Amino acid sequence: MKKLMSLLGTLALAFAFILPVSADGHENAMVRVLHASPDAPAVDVYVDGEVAVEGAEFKDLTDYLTLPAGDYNVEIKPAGDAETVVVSADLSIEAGKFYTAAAIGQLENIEIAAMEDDANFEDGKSKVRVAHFAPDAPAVDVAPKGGDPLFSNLEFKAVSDYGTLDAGTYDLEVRPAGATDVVKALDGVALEGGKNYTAFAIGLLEGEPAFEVLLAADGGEMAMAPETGQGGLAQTASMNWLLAAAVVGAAAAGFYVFRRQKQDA
Amino acid sequence: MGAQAEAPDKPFVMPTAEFAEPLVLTSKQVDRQSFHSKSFTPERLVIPSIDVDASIEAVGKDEAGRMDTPSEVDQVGWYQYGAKAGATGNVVLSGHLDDLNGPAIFANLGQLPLGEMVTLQREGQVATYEVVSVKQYRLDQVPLASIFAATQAKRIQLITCAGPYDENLGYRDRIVVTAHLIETN
Repeated sequence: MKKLMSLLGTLALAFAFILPVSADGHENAMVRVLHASPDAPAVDVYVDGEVAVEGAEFKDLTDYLTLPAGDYNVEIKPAGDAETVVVSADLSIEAGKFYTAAAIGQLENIEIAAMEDDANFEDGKSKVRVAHFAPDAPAVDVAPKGGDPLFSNLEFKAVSDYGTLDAGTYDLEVRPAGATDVVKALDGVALEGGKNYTAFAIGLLEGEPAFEVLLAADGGEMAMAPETGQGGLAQTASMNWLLAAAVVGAAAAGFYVFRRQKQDA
Repeated sequence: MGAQAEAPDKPFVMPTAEFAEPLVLTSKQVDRQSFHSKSFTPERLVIPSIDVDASIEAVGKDEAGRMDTPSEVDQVGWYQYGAKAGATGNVVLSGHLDDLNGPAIFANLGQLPLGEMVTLQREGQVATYEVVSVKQYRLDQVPLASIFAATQAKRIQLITCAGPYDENLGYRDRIVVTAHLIETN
């Protein structure tokens, strides 16, 4: 078990290493936002004063937003209310990395928790972690059905390290730490090889919205856009255009203009 | 409990258990959440409104780190590191706009109207998607995170080339069609 990297209003992700960052300004980080505060209203998320996410409700996990690496101030405001800051945090994000920033806790104690998402993938394996973001739930274990815990004694606000599992479909159980009774059975959790996941335990054991587990794939095997053409249509298109121009020219001037394509080639 | 402890004159009685009700927790009593999904590796892409009915080849990345393209211009490439058909995430498909001589499988992708249906198929399994956006971007403006990064949405991203062609640089633009999952059968 590992405590959240940071808690409370201000946080800064501290990095153990200063990595070289490319100077071309195109090195980006990916950040997504989770609304896990069960009694908080829909919110807007501002990054350095600019609205980045609008109308996120409880249980919403945004897509990753692309941001240049650097330091940011993140503010969470009630949806449509630019004047009221519910909670804010400072974030440092590093090029090429993925992060999740989550609004957690009940509204009167709301906090922003930030974590780095593992985007290094292993063929045939899934890396999985559990984030305990259910404010009224006790410390929990997460285990295969009837088996020994994979993740032990996670308290509210705790995010486990990633553990590596063989790809496959698992029936898992959330249990009170050290106990064998089951808080929640998670049936048919399909973990694909080469993908990493976070299981966010959110909601309330007593009351609404009810306790549940949000399983999210983390990071992503990024690629650049494919090269999907060889120019055949472009040649055709430009020849058509030239022919059309020639016809129009001929009609206007009363004589036919013959042109060859790529004459200067 | 306390009352029992203060009644020493009561004769000892062996406690008995009632077995009419099972003592073990039955599965019915457990709050269950199912994660089962009907996802599959797609083998055909069908887009009736632009006459696309193509076989799918699983692709990865080329040496330059680009999503790869299918080996045949009448095929479509499915990015194997992305999501499967019907699954949560981005199902990414690339197809050629043209080859050296003329139009290829995605020649008319840019004309796909919003609201049209796109299906991914495999042996009786069908995932149906509805087109929600058709956008053209400069190559360096393509929203790679929306296309390739993990998402909780269930959508497909169809990509092809567009814009002016340069012999050295290739096509300047990319068309990205996004469609959301409607149903899986």
